[in-house]
Amino acid sequence: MKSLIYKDLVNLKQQSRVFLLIIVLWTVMAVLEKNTTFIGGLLAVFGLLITMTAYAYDERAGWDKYALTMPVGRRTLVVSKYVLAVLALAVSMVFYVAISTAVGADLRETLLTAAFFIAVGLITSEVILPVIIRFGTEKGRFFLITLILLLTFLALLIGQSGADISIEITVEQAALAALALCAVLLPVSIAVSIRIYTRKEF
Amino acid sequence: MNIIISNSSGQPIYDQITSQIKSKIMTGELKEGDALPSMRLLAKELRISVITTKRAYEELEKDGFIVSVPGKGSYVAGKNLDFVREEQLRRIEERMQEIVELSVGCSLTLDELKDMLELIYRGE
Amino acid sequence: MGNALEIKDVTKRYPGFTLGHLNLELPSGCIMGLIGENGAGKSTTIKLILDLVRKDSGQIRVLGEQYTAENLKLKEEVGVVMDECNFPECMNAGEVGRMLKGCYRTWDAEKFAVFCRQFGLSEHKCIKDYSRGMKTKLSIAAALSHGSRLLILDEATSGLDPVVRDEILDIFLDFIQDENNSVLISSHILSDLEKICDYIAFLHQGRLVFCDEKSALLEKYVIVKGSQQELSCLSPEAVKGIRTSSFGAEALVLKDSVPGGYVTDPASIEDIMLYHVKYGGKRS
Repeated sequence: MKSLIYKDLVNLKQQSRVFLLIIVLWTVMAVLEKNTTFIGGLLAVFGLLITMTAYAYDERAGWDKYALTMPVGRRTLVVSKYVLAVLALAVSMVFYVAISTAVGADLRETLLTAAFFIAVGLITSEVILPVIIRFGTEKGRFFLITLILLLTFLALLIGQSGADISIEITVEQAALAALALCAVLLPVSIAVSIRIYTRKEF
Repeated sequence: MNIIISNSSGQPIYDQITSQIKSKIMTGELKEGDALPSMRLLAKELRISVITTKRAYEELEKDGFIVSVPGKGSYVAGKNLDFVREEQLRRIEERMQEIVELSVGCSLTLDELKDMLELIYRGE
Repeated sequence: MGNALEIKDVTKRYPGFTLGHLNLELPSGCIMGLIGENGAGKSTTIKLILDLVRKDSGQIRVLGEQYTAENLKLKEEVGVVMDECNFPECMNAGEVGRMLKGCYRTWDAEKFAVFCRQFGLSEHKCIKDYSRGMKTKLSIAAALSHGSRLLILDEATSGLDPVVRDEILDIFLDFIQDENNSVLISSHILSDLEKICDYIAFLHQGRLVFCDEKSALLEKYVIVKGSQQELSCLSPEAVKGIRTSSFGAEALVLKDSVPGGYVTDPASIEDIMLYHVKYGGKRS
């Protein structure tokens, strides 16, 4: 499994300059806007993008066909994609927390928001990964774009919805609810993905 | 040791190997107890199938020219003088057959043939 | 010693094509060449062996075991080289080595390094800058650097120049020096297979036409040349195919049934395949 993540990271390294540029841009935006919630949403989507990009690289190289001849089971190959998704989201949230605190936002609120976005990001991955595994990255992209729009909309709503206290309560509850949903969906998604992948012919 | 194979001579390859090794044993180039190259090494170096070299070695062993020890390899068998002589007689007979056929083909009589043979033999 | 590969009564149906009732055995310590025209079923056969596609019926045993996705121990012992290099393009040889080290318990980093040096694959050059020959060599180096006892190659040498192919064939012959190792290679380059194979299996339209010892095949057939009339005197069961031209005809015939007086040439594996596929069954 470690080697599979290693491979994904080496693949993604090619894009690292682009990624860095995006993060710098958003940091500047956040500082100017003094509103980091929006950025949080974008960063979560960004985390998803990483998962999709990694998968696209695999597709282009015909990697799966070869990988299946290695001592790596189909289950491990599927799970490694989820692990990558979690890692990508965790890293992007680290950036989010860093940017937020740098801008002077409240730490607790920031952490809760981060938890919320990780959960939502993971939920999206949990929905998208089986789609990508079944239909490929091209169709998966359509799905993702639709979901990006939805997420952005949600993020804007939350960012603009009323007084401090209500936001805090909402954020805490939202975070918990999202985490709960995420936890419930995870085994289901993995099971579906494994099922699809086990049946797949190359 | 040199083994030269021809793909277009019409003679099966395993047979070519067998004959060449046999003659090396008879001329003394290969002595009793000498180790032969492994079947696989021979196959690789000559760029032929290992099944062919295996068959050649099996023939040689069947005719008593070599001995194969599992796990160790193949070695030239102890010279059985009668046996070697028998082989040489067989070859002479083969050539005599050829000579007779050619003679009949150009109407050479047996006496003429004997004269020729005597001249050549004494000439040695 | 047992068989490295056993395929019993295997079928695979696709719309418009059926790979049917395949029975094939690869004895240990041998090299088997899989030949056939495009679409004959060679790649499908290999995918069936590697469990990349599911068979509709039959049994396959690899090194005596079932090759399934979760039989990890068996996968350590099977080295695969596909027609395209499937490693990520942006990786270099060093990174591939590091990645594979984490995947194979039997990975031999030293052996891989030696192969890379021998093939002139620099540790820092990205695969996307490799020539086709280098990509193939990298795949072969990888396939031979873990505890492989069976090497499976699917059109791995197409597109390579004769010099590179010769180097690679030598490597396979080295691999076979250990009689526990076996090779299954599917290729269009019949001259290569003629050089190194012990067995040749010929697939045509999804069916196995023959699987014979290569030297037996080459000794069994002969190309007879003559006028169409002369060739028509040959026994029909012995003639496998005839090619006629404006100046005469050529036929693939069983060597033993050719009487003296005919002009004959040795038949190559390519001749045998072509006469079966293209000129087979035609009588002048």
